[in-house]
Amino acid sequence: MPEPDLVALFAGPLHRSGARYLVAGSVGAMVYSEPRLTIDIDLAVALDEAALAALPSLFPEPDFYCPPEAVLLAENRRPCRAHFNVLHVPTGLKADFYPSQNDPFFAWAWEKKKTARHAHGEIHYAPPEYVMVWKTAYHAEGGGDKHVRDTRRMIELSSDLVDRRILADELERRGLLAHFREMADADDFV
Amino acid sequence: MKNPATFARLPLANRNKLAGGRPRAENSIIMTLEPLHPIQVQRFSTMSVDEKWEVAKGLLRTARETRRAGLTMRHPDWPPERIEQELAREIARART
Repeated sequence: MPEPDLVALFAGPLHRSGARYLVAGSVGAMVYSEPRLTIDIDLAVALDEAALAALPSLFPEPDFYCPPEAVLLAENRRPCRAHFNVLHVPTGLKADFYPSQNDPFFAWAWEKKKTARHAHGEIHYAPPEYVMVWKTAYHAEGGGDKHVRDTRRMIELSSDLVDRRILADELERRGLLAHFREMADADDFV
Repeated sequence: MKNPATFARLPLANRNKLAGGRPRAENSIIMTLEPLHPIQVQRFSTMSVDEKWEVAKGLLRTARETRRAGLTMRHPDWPPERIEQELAREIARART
């Protein structure tokens, strides 16, 4: 089994297909914080139905598990909290896909995306504000030490890259501002 | 195996329960255990030590590549040697 690269496995095919996607979550946080290991990658995506129908060809069997097209379409139509998994079966590595075409914050993040060059090609990363808002949302929903550590490290190492007004407004809009302040232990940050 | 397509739609607490995870420990150690997908349960339980080691090396490579990309974006004026130096420093104090 060759050494798998989580970004190349899942974000690489999306990028080459021209899809609108952003690497977020822990891998996205890593760009603004410190290296750490994770076995899954979060991908915010805005895919039309044609791009969605082509998804199984980007992640073909037997190496990948991709949900049936009916599930992909149903999730893509969900107005909020849409989600599906794609897995690389030989390694057990997983991508969490979050259809976000109805989310104005995704549209903002897409305009502010950071494109990085890897050895295997270019990859689009979400801006830090987007990563922080979603880390706060997931921490509010299910806890998790990793969200706290990722967020605090992002503030420690990349606070100058963050548009605090945008971050505060989006957290406020989602009712997460107080939670962020407690989680980040940074009352004066936003 | 649970239906992989429906598993992902369950609330976190239910996924934890089905996956055998416990979102909160009963003792003083408080932790959240993210549930594994049924395909991951099946694969990780049959994977050899050598295979797990290859996956782990790949994850380390992902972490190095991602941070290298982040450092390069952040410091476009730094020469490659300085990027590698900083990356090595970060790896030395990295966590899981």
